[in-house]
Amino acid sequence: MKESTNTKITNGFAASMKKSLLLILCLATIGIGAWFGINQKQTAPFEISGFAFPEPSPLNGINLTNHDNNPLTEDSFKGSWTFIYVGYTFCPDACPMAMTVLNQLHGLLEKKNSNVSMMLVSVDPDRDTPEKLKNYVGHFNSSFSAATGSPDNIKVFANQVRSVYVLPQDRSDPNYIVDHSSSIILIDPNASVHAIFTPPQKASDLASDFEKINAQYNG
Amino acid sequence: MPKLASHIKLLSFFFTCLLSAAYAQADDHKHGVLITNSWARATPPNITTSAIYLTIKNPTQNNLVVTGVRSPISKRIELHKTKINDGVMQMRKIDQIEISANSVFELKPHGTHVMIFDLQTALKTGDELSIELILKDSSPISVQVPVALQAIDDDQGHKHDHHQPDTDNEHQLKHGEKEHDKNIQHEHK
Repeated sequence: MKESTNTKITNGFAASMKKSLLLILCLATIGIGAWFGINQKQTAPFEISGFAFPEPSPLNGINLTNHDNNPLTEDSFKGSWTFIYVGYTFCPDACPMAMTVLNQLHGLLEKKNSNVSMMLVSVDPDRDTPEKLKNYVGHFNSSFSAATGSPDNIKVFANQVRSVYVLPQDRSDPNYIVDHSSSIILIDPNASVHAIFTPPQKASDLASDFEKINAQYNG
Repeated sequence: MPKLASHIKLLSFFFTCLLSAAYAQADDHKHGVLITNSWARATPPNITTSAIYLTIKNPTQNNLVVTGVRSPISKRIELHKTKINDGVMQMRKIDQIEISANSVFELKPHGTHVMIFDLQTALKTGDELSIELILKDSSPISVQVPVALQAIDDDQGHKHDHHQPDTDNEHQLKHGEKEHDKNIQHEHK
């Protein structure tokens, strides 16, 4: 009896800890963003609409499933640039808007024959199966890929790409909404988190930012 | 029922006539509420949600309150607002949209929009949705909304990237602004 009360208290504590941790994570993300934003103006030779990390951190321990039901690890990102949007398909406003921006960006970069791919990572695996994701991204561009995974593995990925999302505890109504940071993340050919673009994102800005980042990366 | 409907129609016609007359007398406003730039987002396969965006011009001397949207396309259509809170994008249901007298209000991506749930059929580019904006103090406004992949701007006459930060959906009508409207989809008198 005592044990179960303890467990309950622990669970309550864990829930509130979770909330505070999330808040801290949010603030930290903004803080880091702001710091890099300010820092970059002083040190980097160029300015971008998002922010580029001075020391990109390599992805590690990534274990997701792509739209063809194949495993997606950090190695999958090696050799090309990848723009990733972290979202979900039920979302009617922000996510299709971001996918449209990625499609426009793809069109702008394709002309210059850039080695770039576009990907949607869904944080809503209950509703977003690999098959559903494949159809979804195909609607925007047949070359786009997608991925999702177990809740734990999505969390690992999202933390590394500095994305925040909040699935509602009660998902009994199938029409639930997911809060998310709605950012676009740029992974470099070394599979490191290179830059982050927070909303509102504009394809022409992302394209010119990418040219600068790519030039510096190769230079 | 058809009799009642025709009575209501007749009655609303009568009142709108009265209102128009009142506006015409109050000042030079001959136009009523205008809906422009409307579009609904085309849906990917097996996706049951979409959004409708449009611009509401209220050149009248009264505030206009939209309390909902209905359409045969779905039983669940809600007014929603997307906003960024502590770096996290949140979309929430809102009860109404208020458009001040002599103002324009834009429903646009990353801002206030109409959310459609439980779509039974896909919305394809080129389709048109019949919707009604439900008003607090007046008869509904009917709008034919084209389905598109991205924003349609009647003023520009072409599709473009309608992407601006959602800070201010409403602005005051500039003097003479209403004279420039082209391709007005609906005029509510």
